[in-house]
Parts: sequence; C-alpha cells; structure tokens
Amino acid sequence: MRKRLKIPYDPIRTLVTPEGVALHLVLPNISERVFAFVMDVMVIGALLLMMSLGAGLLLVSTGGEVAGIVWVLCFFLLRNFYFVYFELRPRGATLGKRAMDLRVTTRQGGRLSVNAILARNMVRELELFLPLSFLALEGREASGWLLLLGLGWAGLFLLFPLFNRDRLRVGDLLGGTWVVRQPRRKLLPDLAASASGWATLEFTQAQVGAYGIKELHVLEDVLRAGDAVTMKAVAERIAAKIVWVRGVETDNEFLGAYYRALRTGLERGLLFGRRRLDKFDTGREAKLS
Amino acid sequence: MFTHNAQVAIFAFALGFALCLPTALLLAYSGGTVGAFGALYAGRGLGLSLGGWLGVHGVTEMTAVVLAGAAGFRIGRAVIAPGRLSRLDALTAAGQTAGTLMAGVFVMLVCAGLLEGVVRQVVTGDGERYAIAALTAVLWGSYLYLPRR
Repeated sequence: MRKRLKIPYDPIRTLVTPEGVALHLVLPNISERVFAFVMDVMVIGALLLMMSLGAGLLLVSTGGEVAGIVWVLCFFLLRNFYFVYFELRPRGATLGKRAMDLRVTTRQGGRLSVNAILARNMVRELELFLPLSFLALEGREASGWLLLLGLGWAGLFLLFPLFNRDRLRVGDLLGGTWVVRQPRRKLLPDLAASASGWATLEFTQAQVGAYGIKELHVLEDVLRAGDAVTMKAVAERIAAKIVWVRGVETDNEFLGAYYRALRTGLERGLLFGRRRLDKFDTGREAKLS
Repeated sequence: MFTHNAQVAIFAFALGFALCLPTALLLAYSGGTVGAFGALYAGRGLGLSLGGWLGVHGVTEMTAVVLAGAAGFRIGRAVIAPGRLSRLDALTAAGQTAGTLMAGVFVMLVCAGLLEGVVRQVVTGDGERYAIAALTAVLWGSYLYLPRR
C-alpha cells in the first residue's frame, strides 16, 4: 500500500486589497479560535453573574418585577450583541480574540460592514445553541436515536470550521469574513535613549568615521543580545580598528558609548545628505546596488 | 415576550442556512402556537379583545419575525440554488442582504417591545387598540411595499 503523502497545513493567505497591495495574512489554529471563544463565554458569564447579583439586590430592596425584566433584557443583549458590539469596533475583535491576537476582517479586503458582522454573529444561534438545545433535551421528550440524529445534524454546523481550508464558520461564510492573526508589534526601547548607564567616552572624528550603517545594525544586535563573550570579542575588534586604548570601562560601556557616537555621526551625515552604507562606502562614487 | 420573540427571529434567520426547511417548521410552529392561543380565547368569547391585545404590538412583531424568516429563506436559497455565482459567493451576497434585513428586523422588534410595554398599558379600549394595530399595519406596509425612488 502506498503511504499517503502528508502535506503540512499552510496557514498563509494572500489578500490583495482594493488599493492593489498584497497582504500576507496568517490564519489562526483551531485551538486559538476555541480559546478565544471560551474566554468570551467566560466574560459573558462573569458579566451575567454580576448582573444577577445586582438584580438580586434590586429584588430584595424593591421587591418588584422590574429586576427580573432588566435581567432578561440584559441577558438577551449580552447573548446576541456582545460579539456584534466588539467586532464592530475598529479592532474588529472581541475581548477573547484580542487576548489571542486575532481579529475579524473581510475576505475581499475593504471595510467590515454592519451587515457582515450581524450576519456573522446571528448564525451563532445555529452553531452553538442548536447543539446545546439538543443536549438539553431529555430522553422522555424524544427517543434516543432521534436525539443522536439531531445532535449529529447540529454538530455539523458547530464543526464546520474543521472541514474547510480557510477555517470559516458558517457565519464567516455568510458575512464574507474570516478570522486572522494580528500579532501585536512591540517596539524595542531606543538604545541610545536608554544608555544612561553607559560611560561617556570621547571619540575623534576619524574613530567615529570607521564604520557605516550596516556595522551600526550589527553592533545594535550585539548590544541587545547582551552576550558577554560576543561583546568582548566585538569590543576588542572595534578597539583595534579605531586604535583605542582600553581604560577602566567595561565592554558594555565601551560598546554603548561607541554605538551612541557612531549613530550620532551617521545621523549628522544624513542631515548633510551623506548616507554611509557600510565601512567600505567612501562616498566618492555612487553605489549602484 | 420581547426577548423570546427576538430569539425566534434570530433562530429563523440562522436556520435558513440549514436548507430552509427548519425555518419553515419554526415559523409554522410559532404560528400554530398563536393560533391555538386564539382558539382558546375565541372559544370563551374573548376573541375580539384578544385580537386587540395582540394586535397592538403583534402586527409589528409578527411582521418582523416573518421578515427574519424571509432572510433565512434567502440564505437557504443561495445554498440550494446559487445561480450563476459560485455557492460561496452567492452565500456571501445573500448574507449581506439578509444582514441588512436583520438590522431592520431588530429595529421593528424594539418598536414592538415599546408598543407592548408602554402603549398597551396606556390604551385599554378595544377600539383604540384595533386602531393602533391598523395604523402600524399601514405604516410598515407602506414602508416595505410602496415603491421608492
């Protein structure tokens, strides 16, 4: 028997926006979607619990029917409009989705419309509450086989995302939407600004001019990594190149001070229209590449 | 009552994806419940007042539920007979239309809720109630069916 070739699932989709820009979107795992949903359910549950407590207090203090009515109304709003409200906001993500770094977007590119979000979330009723309602039915209300059949039928909608390539829910199908990853980008702190601990050493013009932008980037990576052995080697290389007699400063201090001096020098050059790409760039001839 | 009926409307919409039939069943079942209710009252000579009691908000509410069912049918039809489009595209297009319809249905349901909660408590005479029912019927009917530019 031939062994079936297993092709790994490729989660990257290319979306061409109306402006003609190709974006590479990454689809999340099923587990991330499930976790996001569980989190949302927990948030709704917590809100409901608080509301019930509030309604209970109201009931005790006023004794009227008002508390019950308010509770039912709030339950209805939470059940149907929690998702709609959060997905209509610019983030396009419920709290759970935000925690899992996911968001909803359209499959065509362009903006999310109210229609799409409404259609997307009204179908939750079919996907979630239908199977639940079959589970809640008891044996004496319907025969076991009928229940099983119903559950299977309802489960078809619940498990729909498992059976298509883009992991679309039925609601995504209707709304023309899908759920994609939206990783949070964190900016690293600026090295030159955070270098207050570094010794201020004076370098001459020639010493600063020994390197270009490429070397600056390499030096920055070394500083960020903070590996002692690498820093020592790099510090020695630089000291030898710029003819610097090492004093009492540590490798970190020396490299930090030189980083700041080099960056200042290169930025000053940029102000005068000189971009020094690397240490071989003399600025005499125009670089072709 | 408001939340229950809104839930029925949403369910009717969602079930449309399951090839229309469940939506039809749900609508028929809900209609049957109202009918049974009516028969029970009419049998004891309360038919006229029940009509007023229901009509104040029922005209709006039942229209909304039927419209939600129609939105569901629209989706079901896109699954069964997508026409020239691919099934996926047809579904998305139908979803957009149905989404708009559902937004309208919610507005209607909120109106019905207000009529039920406030107006019905204030207006108690049968004649006035029927008048309000007729007025809402004319209003929604003209909004939905009169041609517009």
